[in-house]
Amino acid sequence: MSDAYSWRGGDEFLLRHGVNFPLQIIIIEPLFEESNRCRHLLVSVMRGLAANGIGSALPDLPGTGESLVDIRNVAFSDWHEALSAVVEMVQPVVIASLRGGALLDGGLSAKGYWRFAPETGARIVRDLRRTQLGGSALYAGHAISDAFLAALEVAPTVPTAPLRTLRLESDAGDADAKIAGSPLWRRAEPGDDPELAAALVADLTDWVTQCAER
Amino acid sequence: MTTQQHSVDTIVRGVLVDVLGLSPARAEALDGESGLFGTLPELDSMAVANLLTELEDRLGIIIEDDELDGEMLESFGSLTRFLEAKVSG
Repeated sequence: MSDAYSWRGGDEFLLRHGVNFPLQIIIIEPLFEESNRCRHLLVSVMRGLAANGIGSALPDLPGTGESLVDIRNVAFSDWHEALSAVVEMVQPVVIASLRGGALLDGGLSAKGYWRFAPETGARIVRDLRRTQLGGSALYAGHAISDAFLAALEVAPTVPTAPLRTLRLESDAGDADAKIAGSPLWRRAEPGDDPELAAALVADLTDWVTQCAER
Repeated sequence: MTTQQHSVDTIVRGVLVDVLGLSPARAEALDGESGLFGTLPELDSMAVANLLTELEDRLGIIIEDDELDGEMLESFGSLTRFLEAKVSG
């Protein structure tokens, strides 16, 4: 169902499944174009979680998705502030993030944290610049401000505990577990990977259950 | 092929499947002469950026912007030769 959270006096889009379940999680999307490519996967994951009795909330960050805010007027720190508002509203057991979303979970209150294929800010900025072949980094046709890119480039992944990190088998980075699947965030045409979605649902369900008992 | 050439070859085919959405059969059928940029309709400029970034991740290399040219992406063979040279450092 579509819901909304308040940020700076306006409403921002919040997709929810299983809103009445006592166990809730928040999902922080990959950043920029990668979020569109992973949307199908994330909606499948949310449905799967609901079938296991876990509710989930997927916010559109200000300046992205359905947001009426212009990305040119958004600072990287605004995203953290927006997510704090979602946390207050949803009271999640776990905050789950994908890719660059993992740069935003630090300091948000939850019993546990879960990251899938976390990526550094420097690599995301490099990718954004490369996509434009030397021009300014664009999102939905608008230039992302230099101040935003500078903040994103040095954004740390904040150590959070308890944390569980998953990566694809093809990814050489450190992880608690590696799973089979394709990097949908790189796909030129948005795709789906039902087996990957099912594996993520199973892993998240276990982790949420463990964290809820703490 | 040496083990290293073999693994670069396999990784490039895997990345073409994952990034461009080629079928595994189509990726497997590519040979050294098979055209890439300008031949594969899936490989537009946005896809080139994604392809290069994913290759960097899987091979543990960095491709500088000034190394990018049409020749490197012209064929499957030219891309794998470029990457083998990068991997060998």
